[in-house]
Amino acid sequence: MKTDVLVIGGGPAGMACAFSAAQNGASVILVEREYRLGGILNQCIHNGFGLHYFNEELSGPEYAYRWQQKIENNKKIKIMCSTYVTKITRGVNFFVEATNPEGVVNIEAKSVILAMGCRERPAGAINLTGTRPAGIFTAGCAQAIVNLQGKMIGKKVVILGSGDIGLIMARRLVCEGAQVVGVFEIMDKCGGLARNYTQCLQDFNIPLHLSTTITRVKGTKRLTGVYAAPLINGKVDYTQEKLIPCDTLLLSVGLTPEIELVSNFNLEQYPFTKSYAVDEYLQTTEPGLFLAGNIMQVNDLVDNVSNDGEIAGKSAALYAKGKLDITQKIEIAHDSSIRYTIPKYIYKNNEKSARICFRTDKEYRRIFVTATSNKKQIAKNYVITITNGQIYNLNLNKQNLNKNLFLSIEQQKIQE
Amino acid sequence: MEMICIRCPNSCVLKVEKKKGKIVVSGNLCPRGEEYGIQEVTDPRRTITSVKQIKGGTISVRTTVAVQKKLYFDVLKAIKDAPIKKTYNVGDIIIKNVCGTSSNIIVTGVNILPKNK
Amino acid sequence: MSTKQVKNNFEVAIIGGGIVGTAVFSELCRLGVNCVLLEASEDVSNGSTKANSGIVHSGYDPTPNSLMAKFNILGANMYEDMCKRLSVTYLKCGTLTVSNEEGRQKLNDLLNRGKQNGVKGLKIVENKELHKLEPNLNSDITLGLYAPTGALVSPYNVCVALAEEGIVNGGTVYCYFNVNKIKYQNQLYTIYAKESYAPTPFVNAKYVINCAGANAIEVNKLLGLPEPQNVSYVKGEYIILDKSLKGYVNRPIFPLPTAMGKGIVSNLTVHGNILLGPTATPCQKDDVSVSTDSIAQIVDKVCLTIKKPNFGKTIKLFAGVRAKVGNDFVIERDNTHKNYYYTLGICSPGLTSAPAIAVYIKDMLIEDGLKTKNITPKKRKPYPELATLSRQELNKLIKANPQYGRIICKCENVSEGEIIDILNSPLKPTSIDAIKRRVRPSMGRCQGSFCIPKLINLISQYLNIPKEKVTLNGIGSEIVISDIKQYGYYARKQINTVLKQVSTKK
Repeated sequence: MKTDVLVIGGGPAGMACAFSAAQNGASVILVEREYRLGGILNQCIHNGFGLHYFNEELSGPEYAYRWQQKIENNKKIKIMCSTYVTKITRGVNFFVEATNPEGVVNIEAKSVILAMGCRERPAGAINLTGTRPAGIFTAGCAQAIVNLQGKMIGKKVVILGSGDIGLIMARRLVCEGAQVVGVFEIMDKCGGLARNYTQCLQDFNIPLHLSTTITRVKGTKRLTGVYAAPLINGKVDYTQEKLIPCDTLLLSVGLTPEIELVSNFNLEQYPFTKSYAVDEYLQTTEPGLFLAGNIMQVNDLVDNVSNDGEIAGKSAALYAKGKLDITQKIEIAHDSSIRYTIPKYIYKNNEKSARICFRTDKEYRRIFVTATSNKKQIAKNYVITITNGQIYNLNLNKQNLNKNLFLSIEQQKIQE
Repeated sequence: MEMICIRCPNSCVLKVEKKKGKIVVSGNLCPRGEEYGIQEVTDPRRTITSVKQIKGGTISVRTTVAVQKKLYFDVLKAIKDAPIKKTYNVGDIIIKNVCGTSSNIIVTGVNILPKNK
Repeated sequence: MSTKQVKNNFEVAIIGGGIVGTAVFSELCRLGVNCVLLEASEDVSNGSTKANSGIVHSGYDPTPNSLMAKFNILGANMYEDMCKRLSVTYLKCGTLTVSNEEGRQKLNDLLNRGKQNGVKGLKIVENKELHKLEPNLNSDITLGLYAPTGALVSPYNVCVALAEEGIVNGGTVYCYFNVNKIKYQNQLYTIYAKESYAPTPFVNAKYVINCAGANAIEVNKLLGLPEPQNVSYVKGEYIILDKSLKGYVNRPIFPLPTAMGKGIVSNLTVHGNILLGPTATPCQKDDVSVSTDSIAQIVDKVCLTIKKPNFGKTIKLFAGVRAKVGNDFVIERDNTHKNYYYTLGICSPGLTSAPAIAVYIKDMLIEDGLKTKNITPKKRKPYPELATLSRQELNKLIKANPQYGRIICKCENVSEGEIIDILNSPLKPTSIDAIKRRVRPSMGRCQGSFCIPKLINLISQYLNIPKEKVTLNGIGSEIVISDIKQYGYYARKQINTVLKQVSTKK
């Protein structure tokens, strides 16, 4: 099989990639390992999706359904579900090996977009010690069992980690009849969005224990309890370890991009995201190989992910036609209040603008985000709030871009 | 009382007080914050999402509009007790005016594994 | 259970489905002996066997003339052929024991001890040659004792294959048969199971072999045998790292051994994961918990030998308990009960020694009158491992059965077809861990967060059991408990809301 653009992964990022690549004239193959499109959205039954794209508060499955309808009957897009990619190599074009229930599949593509999302960190990754009984789930795994299979995973639940999935699962489990004893967070503030803290924990009187972690677990066959201990000056105080009886432990302790499929390519790594560095087209350092969505950086809003997909899809289509303009590569520099930027590189070329997103080191209120090029300010945006962990999107007008680019944050001077 | 506005990611910390019989909201950056603050202390509402078991899998459902928070578990129970139909499609209404509210319960997703050979 | 009538009468009963028990089982079944293997848990290899370094030791470590030395050498010489016969991986990678310059004398002592034990090909490698073998050794590590006959296997794959081989040669395996009473009457043993869900409440046998590993002393006590002196239980804790670090070490690298054991090994698995451990922590017999201190200890110790690997790639911690009785294996026939044999203190190098111990025990039984038949033993049928097939072979397989094209575990690339093969395999395992040990779903970097829901579905659908009966590792370790919306306020008449009431007071 031959195609201009191959998109791997049929979640929100992949669907947007396919849509956008086709809009830009490319032939597209979209491969998805599940029997249907949608990815993790299918199990995210809570609402809050699509405020930007559809101007509505949709649930995850509905958001997926809308995108699916956008691409399903598009003649330029061939969708292959239940298909799993095992290997990507490259000559002039990319050669992709996959399997599905019909047999092995070989696809030759001019450009490839990776949109496989991320995976959850398991118990071993956080050195959770003690025994290894049943009843320990990552939050997403529990979400799949409860929401897709309609099965309950326990009666008395402890949640470690206050990321959004952890908070959302706390509410889900209470609403399905479980008791959630508490959410434990190693940091001194809630990891998830404030609105999730309010709607998921506060509403249901679920206590959030900050600066506290689960040290070890107990139980031979099924979990019977976990030990919690506070952190004092960043160190676990084992003398205050306390047993909390429970039959279930949910882990919401971080996500890791699923980048291993292309480890045979010598791509520039990007330690901030545990993924690969990209340019403004979301292209990796391998020409024609693009990233979109959570495989590139873990997002908190699905709309961002779809936006990635639109950029990567268009870029991949242009690359397939040999029209991707990569004149004069510039590495984006920034001050220390910005942790990292996506992309890492932009071009001084004929593209009028580029989307730059970044995360900050802490929460900022009433600030200016400024961009300087060759000592001249080329952008200054007023921002009311950037919360810690939230991604800020800057649409940079590149007309005045020169040899370099520096991003910084300035506090607004309040005039009394 | 203090509360976090959930209308947008700005997450304003609102202060909602009763002054001379009137509810006064402060700390909000926009009018939506005031609206939220007053609603939250007078008649708090939530959009409820849930899952219902059906033959061979589940459907996910939600209320079409936010319903009174105090009805949360009545709504969940109504979802559980709703009769099971033969087929479901996204957008189908499975309960009209759930628990006497102006909200319907609609299907947001259908999760039935295809039968494999 | 199948519709076949449950069999209760056997010539030989083996208690314990670890590596020793299954090796004896296969040995006897291949001689046409009517044999039963009784395993307390839901699957074989569930004790110390599964939590093992997987090293086939060359044999330079044990004290000369000990049983350990004898069986180690004999066993190591049998392993490659045995693995070939069983169609399981045998990775001929050699082993290294390394040290800095200060350890030269001790390494030489080991070399000489090895020669005395009859180990072939041992040599000291130094500096550049050593670092070429293992590029991630620390720079102060300049000496290594290279043992080319050392190798790696998957201990549970070998154990399962031995049990399956026994079954295809007419043997019976009863899992969930937790022995709690043994009656000896008229030269016949009746062995009783503790749990009501055992496949049969009892079995009869003329010969009984106790291979119960860490529980072997408890089994001996059922016949009134005294507890030997110098019994201790030692826990070995491990860290396992993701396959993306494959090649970080190329063979097991030991530090110089101490009195406590062979030390913490920088090791790998036959599947390419990096495996670090074991510790040697004194413990209770059934304590397989991992402690934070031990993990810190492994990290510290490993870094004395090799450059610090990326511990951010840790995917699992685990532990196993080995029983020690004095400084050697105990393999005896009992004087007070005719035809009762026991193996105690089979710690390292137990995995290596198992095939030789099996032959030794078989010979004892024959000496004591066991009748064997001269049959042509059947080979066990290996399951297809899709990852090892060529594209053409894979395509052919999928065309014949589409289930091989449906991937369930994406980290280890395991298909539905392979999992169903396992559900149909001779031992008919049903737990997720048992399937994991055989074909690796949930063994990878996500540790099952993607595939466990699918495995629950598949097992339930295929075995036609409710999802609530699917277990992680046997009855008691069920994963899902009920349908949603059954407990809490759903069970109450009155809706007792847990919602926080908002008020303007305060």
